[in-house]
Amino acid sequence: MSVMEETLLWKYIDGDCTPQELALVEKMLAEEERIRQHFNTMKLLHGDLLNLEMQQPSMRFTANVMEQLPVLKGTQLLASRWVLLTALFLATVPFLALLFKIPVGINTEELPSQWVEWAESTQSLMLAQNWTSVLSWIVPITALVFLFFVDRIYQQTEEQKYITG
Amino acid sequence: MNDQDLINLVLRGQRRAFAQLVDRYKDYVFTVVLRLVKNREEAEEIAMDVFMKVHKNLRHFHGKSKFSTWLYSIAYRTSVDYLRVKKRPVISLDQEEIPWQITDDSGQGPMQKLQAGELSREINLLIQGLGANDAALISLFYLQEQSIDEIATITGLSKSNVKVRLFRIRQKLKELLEKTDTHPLKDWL
Repeated sequence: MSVMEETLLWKYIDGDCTPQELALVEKMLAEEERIRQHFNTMKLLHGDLLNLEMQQPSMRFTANVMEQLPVLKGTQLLASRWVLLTALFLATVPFLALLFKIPVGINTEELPSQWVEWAESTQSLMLAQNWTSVLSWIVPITALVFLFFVDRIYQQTEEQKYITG
Repeated sequence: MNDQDLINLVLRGQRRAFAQLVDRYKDYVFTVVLRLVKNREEAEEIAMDVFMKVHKNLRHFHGKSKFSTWLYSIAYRTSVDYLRVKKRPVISLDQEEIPWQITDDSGQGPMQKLQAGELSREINLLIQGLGANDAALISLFYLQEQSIDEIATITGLSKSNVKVRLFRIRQKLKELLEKTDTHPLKDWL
């Protein structure tokens, strides 16, 4: 049998023939015993390929996949979380130092009324402390409190992001 | 519940929906991977890796293709990458002699064999002997019922290349089956 005839027969079996090819194959099948024999072999092979059994992984496959997911989550969170927190801490300390220094030089009479109380209390706190103590404990503690809340929000976001793929 | 419904649930944070997707496709993925790597333990590890990747990247699936096509693409690429790392060939039919040897020790007639799925077992053996790429290709076409277009997307081959390869693989399988002295097709016809 020629390659062309074989190709046509496979196309016929797959249902990919054009109307002209369809007519040609049907004519060939009706007229030639040799083609009919090949066609039957191909059809049997096709049928058996369609009925091939699927291979199966172990019984615990799905459970194993699902167990792997939280492990990944923990690893991912741990790696990125500490990098982000350290960077944020380093950025927050000078920012807070500046923020604490600003009220000292402010003229409270020029402030809107809602800010006066905050400025005066901060000023009295700052004046009661020397600048070294502000840098040594007030700023780092404020930074840590701030980071605690940032971390909580970050963890929630990361968890959500991971679950949603 | 269809695939997209399950995907939406997973994206809303329902882990059980992902377990359902794994259950639905694990056999398909495992079969394709096994055809490529030809080792059950390795295939299981790779199939797990495939589902981890799917979970991680599910938000990038926008439904432009069928979910199964996207999933098999990941399975195919992960397996091929694995074979490359292991420096094992992804040989095609035209490059390798098929190491097939089927013995008939069943004592069954052709009709009984067909009924008992003996032919199916023999074809399975022949497919196992095919080159990795060709075995995966025939599995995608028959077991996974992927269209030529979808197989081209999964494997990165052109549509015409997929057609030609499928034709040659099936021809080769037919010839091998016909050559087998004890094969039911021989008596059947």
